[in-house]
Amino acid sequence: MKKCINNLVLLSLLLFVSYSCDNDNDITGSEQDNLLTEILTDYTDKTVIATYTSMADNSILLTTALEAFEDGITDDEVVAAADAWKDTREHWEKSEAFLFGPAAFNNLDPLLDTWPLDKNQLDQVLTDVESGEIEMSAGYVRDNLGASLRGFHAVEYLLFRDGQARTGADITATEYSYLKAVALILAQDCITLESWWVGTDNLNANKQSILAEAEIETGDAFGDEIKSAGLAGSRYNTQFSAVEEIIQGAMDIADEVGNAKIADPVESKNVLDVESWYSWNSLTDFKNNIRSIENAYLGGADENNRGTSISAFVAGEDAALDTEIKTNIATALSKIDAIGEPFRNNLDNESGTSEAIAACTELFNSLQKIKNLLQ
Amino acid sequence: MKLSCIKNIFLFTVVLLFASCVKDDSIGTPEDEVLAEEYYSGGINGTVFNETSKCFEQPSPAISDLNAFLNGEAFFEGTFVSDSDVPFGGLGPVYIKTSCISCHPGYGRAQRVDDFSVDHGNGYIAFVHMPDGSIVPGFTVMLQTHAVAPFVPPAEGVDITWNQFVDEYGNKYPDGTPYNAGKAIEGTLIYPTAELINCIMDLPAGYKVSIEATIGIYGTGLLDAIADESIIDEYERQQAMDGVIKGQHGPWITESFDGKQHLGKFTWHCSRATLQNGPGYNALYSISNITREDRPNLYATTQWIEKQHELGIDTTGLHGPQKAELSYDDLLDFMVWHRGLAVPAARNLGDPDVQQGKNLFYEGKCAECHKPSWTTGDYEYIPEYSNQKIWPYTDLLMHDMGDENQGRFRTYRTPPLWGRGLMNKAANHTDMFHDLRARNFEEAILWHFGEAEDSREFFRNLAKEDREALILFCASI
Repeated sequence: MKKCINNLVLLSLLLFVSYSCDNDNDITGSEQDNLLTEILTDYTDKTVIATYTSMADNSILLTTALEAFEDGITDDEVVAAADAWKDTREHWEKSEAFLFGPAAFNNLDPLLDTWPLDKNQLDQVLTDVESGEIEMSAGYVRDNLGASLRGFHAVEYLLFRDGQARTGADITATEYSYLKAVALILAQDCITLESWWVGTDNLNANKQSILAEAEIETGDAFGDEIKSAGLAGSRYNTQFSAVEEIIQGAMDIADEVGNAKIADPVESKNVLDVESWYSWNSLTDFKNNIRSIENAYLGGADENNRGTSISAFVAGEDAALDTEIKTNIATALSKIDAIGEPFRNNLDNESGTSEAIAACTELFNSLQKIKNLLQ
Repeated sequence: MKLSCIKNIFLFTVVLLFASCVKDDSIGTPEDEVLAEEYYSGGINGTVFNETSKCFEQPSPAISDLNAFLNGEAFFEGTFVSDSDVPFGGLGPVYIKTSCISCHPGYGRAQRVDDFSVDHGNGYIAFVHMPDGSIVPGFTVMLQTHAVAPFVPPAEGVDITWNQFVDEYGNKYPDGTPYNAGKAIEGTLIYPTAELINCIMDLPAGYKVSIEATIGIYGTGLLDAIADESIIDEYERQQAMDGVIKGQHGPWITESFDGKQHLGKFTWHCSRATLQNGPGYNALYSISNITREDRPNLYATTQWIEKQHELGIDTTGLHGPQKAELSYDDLLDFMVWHRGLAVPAARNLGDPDVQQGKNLFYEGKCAECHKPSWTTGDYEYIPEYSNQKIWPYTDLLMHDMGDENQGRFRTYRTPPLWGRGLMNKAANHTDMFHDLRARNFEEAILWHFGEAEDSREFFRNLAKEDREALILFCASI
């Protein structure tokens, strides 16, 4: 399949050569520059930063929900914390079309979302906390525990069993101490990610103080490099190269959802290959991944407040391609939905899973075509 | 055969057309054809036109089994865990890192760090060795600094110190400009020294600790496809040359998979001859201690196991063959991925400053060791990689880099330069050299001593604009 894709790339390169050597664009260079400036600005502010802001806000709410555990843990309190986990995770999954830049450079993707969890070592940590050998704290987690012992899946393990929130009585004091620590670390990591894109000074006061307390400092706002693509100070030497990065990010997650997140467990028929073992949240995760592509393409995380979009640029160059991409996004969402909940119990739904995988591949292919317009 | 020929003719036409558009000021001249060829750093079948942060992660056009490629990629990116019965299980009992990607950020080269315990991006490997480079008995070649409880690693870590270096010219060019002019690090060059932290093993007098960094992975399948005879030809060319540049080839290594001798060409010291028994193939086992059918024993020394026993830890089960923690099929997929990583195309070669830099690259004899191009031989693993003209800018030989670069050794294989200009995008840093002492291209050139000192002097004596042009060329290939 990839070979076909590669040949397609070459063919399109050939077509592009004949096209671009013979034709002038209808819009002027400066009009296009302005359009791209708006696209890159709105992508940064309305899609990326808006998503990370929501994720960080919800991660703080998760830590608040856990404070209620302090004087005994009720079932309702666990449900509230589990819901806060799901809300935080929703925005994380909606960010997976932009895992380039800070999420990658600062290892935040693995720190937030390494899977599988090292349950063996995690249980050992709990034993050591129980025996008093380890004094559990957020600082201990940060300094001593690797990516497979923290992040979303560590919190998930402590809050969920078999797709449901655990009972309050089931959660031990030791588990609570670990839960509290990893949830705080999760919040710090979410805020860190927001900070790397927006700049620390632009965080709200609460977030600034959480980072300051943890002695976490971030550098120059990466979002500014996307917005100022083509200017000195940005590693993107043209605006097109920044758009290409955005498209690559969207393609990568389309590919990963279809060919790894869905295809791998379907092929192995092993439920342990399905991410989110304890909450059974997988299909929701996958759909939110596709929505991350949708938000990146349509210019905003809030469907009622979208900005200038890559879609507008594509429509101006090739209206049929724009329609194709929108259709493929909708198809991918509906085909994933049609697999049926929970994903782990439907690995043998051959037609449902293969249609979902194919829909992701179609989406990947149509997004790839945008690159041919970036010359 | 015929089909593949037709395909190649078609592709070549694309190349020519591409060139005609890239350089539309002089369409179709022979020079443009040469330039077009140089854009294809990994040859027609091993190059991708991708300048994003994912430029080092792409499958080459030659890869047909994308599922195998992606499955193999998962083992590179995944974090190994100590549970042996789950996906990515089998970490430890003693290990170096939990994942491959943590040492190869963005699939590129490792990042310079002050603190060896930094996980992500830190691709330092530490060696505990004697002055002659031999590893101190009781240590694995690559020092292990982690263990799964209750085991205790040979050492808890490595303390890295960064030292200032001032050359005989006071870190200034002949025109008076300081090195790294205008930057926060103006006038400085630095190099690392290292010491063990909480070592439980016996250490002999005179031992040393040195660190070396990982090298990028992309394009290694194409280097694997270069015939040994071609490397020997280059070796003989250098021996016959006047001057001090006399590269040494790697040892002849008899590989167990085919019983034949192959020439060492991978790693900083040409200690591995083929990818089939190469740094990646072995690191997948040794870095996280993931045992498998062809590597059934733990990557640990008997002395380390004895030391655990002395500490009162149960060592039953550590001796002898272990359960396979990685399947043969997954290993095959890992190698499809490893061999199949494409090289990003060169960029901006038609730019006048880049062309000026290219002229200087040759004039300054950089190209004597950073051999620009090779034509690959027959490659059975990926037939499409056979007979490709590639542009890695390495002679695959080792050169004496002077006392200034003494680590475990002072000779190093010339590293490829392809794709270096994209490192900041892909991995967020521009650190280079065997121990990442060079923080940018300028420093990398200034650390060329020994056989390369004439080229260093050539660079130092250039005008500022020409120094910049030479660096621009290095960043464009």
